[in-house]
Amino acid sequence: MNDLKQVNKSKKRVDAKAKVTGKAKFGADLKFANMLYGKVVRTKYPYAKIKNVDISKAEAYPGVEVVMTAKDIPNNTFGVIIQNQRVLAEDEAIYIGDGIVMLAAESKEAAEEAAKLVEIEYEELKGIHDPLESRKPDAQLVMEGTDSNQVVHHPLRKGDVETGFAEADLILEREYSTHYIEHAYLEPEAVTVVPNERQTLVSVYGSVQNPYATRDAVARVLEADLSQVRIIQDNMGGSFGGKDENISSMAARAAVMALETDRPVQMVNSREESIIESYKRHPYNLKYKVGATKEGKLTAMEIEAVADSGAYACQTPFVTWRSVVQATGPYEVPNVKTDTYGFYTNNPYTGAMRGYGSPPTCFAQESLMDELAEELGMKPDQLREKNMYRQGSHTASNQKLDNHTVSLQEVLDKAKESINYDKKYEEYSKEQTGEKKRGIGLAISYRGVSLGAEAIDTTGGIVAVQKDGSIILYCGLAENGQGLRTVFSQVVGEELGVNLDRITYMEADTSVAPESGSTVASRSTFMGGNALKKAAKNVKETMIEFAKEEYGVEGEIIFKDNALYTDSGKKIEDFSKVASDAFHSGVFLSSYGWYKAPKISWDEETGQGRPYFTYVYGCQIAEVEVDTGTGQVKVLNMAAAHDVGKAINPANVRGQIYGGVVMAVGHALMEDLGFSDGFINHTNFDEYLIPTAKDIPDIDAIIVENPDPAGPYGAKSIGEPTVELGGAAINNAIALATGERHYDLPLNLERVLIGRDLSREG
Amino acid sequence: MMNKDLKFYKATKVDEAVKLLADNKLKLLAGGTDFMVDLRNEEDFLNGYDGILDLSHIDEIKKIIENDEHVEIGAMVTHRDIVDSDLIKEYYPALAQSAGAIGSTPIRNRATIGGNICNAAACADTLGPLIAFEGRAVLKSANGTRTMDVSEFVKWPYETGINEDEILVSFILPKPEEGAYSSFQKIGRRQALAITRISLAVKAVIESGVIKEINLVPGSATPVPTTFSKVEAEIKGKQLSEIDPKEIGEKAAEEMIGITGERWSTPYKKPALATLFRRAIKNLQEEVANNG
Repeated sequence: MNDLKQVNKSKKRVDAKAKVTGKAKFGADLKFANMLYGKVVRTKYPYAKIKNVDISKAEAYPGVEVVMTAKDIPNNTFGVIIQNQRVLAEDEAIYIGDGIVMLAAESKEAAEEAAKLVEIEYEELKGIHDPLESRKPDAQLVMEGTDSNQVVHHPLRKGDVETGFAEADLILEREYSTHYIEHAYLEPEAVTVVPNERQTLVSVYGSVQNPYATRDAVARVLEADLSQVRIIQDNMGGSFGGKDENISSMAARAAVMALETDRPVQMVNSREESIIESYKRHPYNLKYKVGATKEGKLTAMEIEAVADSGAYACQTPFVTWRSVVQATGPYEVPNVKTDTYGFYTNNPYTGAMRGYGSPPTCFAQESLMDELAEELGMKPDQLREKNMYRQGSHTASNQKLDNHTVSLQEVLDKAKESINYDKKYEEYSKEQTGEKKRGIGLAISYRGVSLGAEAIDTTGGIVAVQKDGSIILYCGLAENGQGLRTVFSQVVGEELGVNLDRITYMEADTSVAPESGSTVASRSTFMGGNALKKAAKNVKETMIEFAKEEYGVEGEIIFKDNALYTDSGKKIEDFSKVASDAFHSGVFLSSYGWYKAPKISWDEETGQGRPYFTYVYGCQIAEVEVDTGTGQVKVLNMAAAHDVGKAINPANVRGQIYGGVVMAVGHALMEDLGFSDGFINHTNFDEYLIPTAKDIPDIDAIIVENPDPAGPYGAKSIGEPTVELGGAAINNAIALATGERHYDLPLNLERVLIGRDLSREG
Repeated sequence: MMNKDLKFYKATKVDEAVKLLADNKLKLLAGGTDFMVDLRNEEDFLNGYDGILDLSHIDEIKKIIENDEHVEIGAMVTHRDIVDSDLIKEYYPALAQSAGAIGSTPIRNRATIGGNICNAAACADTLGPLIAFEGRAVLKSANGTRTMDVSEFVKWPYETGINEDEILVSFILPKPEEGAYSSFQKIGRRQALAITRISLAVKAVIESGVIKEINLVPGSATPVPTTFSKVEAEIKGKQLSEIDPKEIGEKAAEEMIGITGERWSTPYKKPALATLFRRAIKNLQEEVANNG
């Protein structure tokens, strides 16, 4: 492990050059002969009866090939967990992004013009737009065929909270809320479906985050075999969890039209269409009650978290499940009662968005810990140190943390040192005279790696050494911009002693690579790394066996620098020569690697068990300046320390940290859909504001490495832990600066200056 | 969809442009940073027009010219040109600051001051300083030239006093007097590419510590940026050091509400505008004291 050549090195991204030179093709770049352009007509109202649909004028428009409604779709519903998302709405529209009619024409312009000619008669109905209303027993039902609006309820019970609160010297009860977050990927959704291509019924090309989930949906909608639906991923202009169900829906629509016309159909969303139709991060309402002794020991925590699922179940059951596990934060609490719910509303549906259920709970729980420290007269870091998990601690689910290094103290110390926390905390705690006041705030977290008890957790990969010694890798996990091609190439390159320029990681293709689960949950380095490492090891063993016989060498054989060496350092042959000789001797130089995650368990009734097989730990500290005369907040500095087990590519890890921090700044301070009564008013980036380069603080990305026994080279996760801490850290920093605590996001000009949000709609 | 029969005209001289305008109904294209967005978003943006007239090749209105008593800023001068102009920075610092606060580098490189004023959004950042500096707009048509005060030019959000056969060719700004000060402040929701939530342009002339002249023009506070004449009257002729900035801030907020009434945004804009006025007066007091 000491003389790693590829792993733990900041290797240049293998796909960087193609992307920066414009050679890389994205979903909307594809062109096929005879291709049609698809378009969707969406509802005008968040909740309405569809009384009549007249497509005759659209059909008659020159260049229009096909106009279809829900009636023309073989099977109109799909879903990863609960199959209640509709490809097109039929009798009623239940949220503002519901599509009602789809059509395809010879040109984009013709498709757009024809879409305007579709006549839909609505009866606008009063919908439910607040999950707290939707949960009431007498609330009208959002989803046909259900007896309540509840999507899911995850209880967790540990000890007895009544006893715990009785032991407390201080009890705090606080309510928090978080809002919708749009993924804001640079590239809006794009899909092209080619019918009857290459032995399959349909080939689907596009910006697909999870090819197997999209295959499931398309096959289900077409009532076709999985083997007849082929999904091939194009380069992705960002995803962040956001190109799953909405892409599945788009692919299903295009597939139906492609089969109907027997012509390729391309669909590309405008930014407005993307923001209106696509799912968001769940808004949460959170009630927290915490008890502590006067020495600062936590005695009990009671939590109720209500997530807005919007019109469809989508991934609400799993998103809220992650919230349960992280709701108490990384603290030993002997008595815990947590209830996490998701409810249907006539709002935009909500699903996977980087963080997946943790940013809302982390915001609430780490804001609460800060306030508790203040009430107890303790420093924020001291209260945390008194209660946080250490080696051998038991979690709220009663899982003993002993199979990996529990490194909260290390991440906390390193982040504090980097930003000079103690000195700044002392300074900013004093009376500040100017109108611009500074503050510093911290947050810590633990986060389960990979899917946990959500679903079966397996990944497969293929390493195929070619006869010239170059290597092709296949895996079902997808390069979404996060750097997975590079990381996987590094892992295989390390095993086979081959430089990255000889390795090609193929795009995910569901008809070639083994089904590997979704590229989600910050699981790819861990799961795919393990699978491909296994496959590479198999090939290596085959090559060793061949080399011993072919070249008459004994003892250990070392693979490095594109060659094979004896254990005494004598070069045997170039890797390419060995590959060529082996191929021509009839040796099979490809192998599958299959990795199944370590065992986990979960009791649905009590929330007890081993929800995840390992965890990562992080600490972020924000330093802010608040203009108390205008409400403007500037995040000056951010220290972000994350234990990743082992950084396969340190530059990529830092990139993930920078990106996560920036997304958290956006979430905390400015992102806003302009949502009111089911309508989205901010449908492009002139109004849906995300941070610009000028809004980004100086970020010190600190990589902490405690190799995990189960990880490839000890590696764990980094994508999502980076985004869950910033909200609370910034909120806590603002509280120190101004002396006023906030409980709702975003902390925009109005909240910071006058303590409440304002909206045009009243 | 855009009418495909529209003609696209490109003029290289003002005379040529006004002649085209006399004969055709044309939509004027300057830097395009509002034009292109509106073209995409508004179905009827070009309804009723015969074509588009591109002004971006008319070099004679891309200049900043200093005369004895005035500075003339061509309408096709970009925000970038204004930010970079030593002349503007010296004479009209508030205008340079406002131009630098608009959009982002690519926007400032393309967007023109004439376009900013003719688009006439309530949040147009250069409008406040141009009014504060008592600028006049020069309009040309085939029939001749006329000028009007910039403060009169914008009638209502997105409505100006320009006639359909006219081109806005320049702004004429009187040179600053002895003892002139100016400042520009802006609040946005982020550090760049932020529509102004509220802003304030100030121009003052101080003589022996007395406010001889004062123009206070907030942006995004009223439908059309306008001088806050009540507050101005309140402090004009007074000893600067004796003015209570806080009180002026509160009075300015009241003056705003007097114009707009209570709107959804008033609970924020009221204290925020008070802050901007308070700071403007305080900064002026400090600057004068330091120069004094």
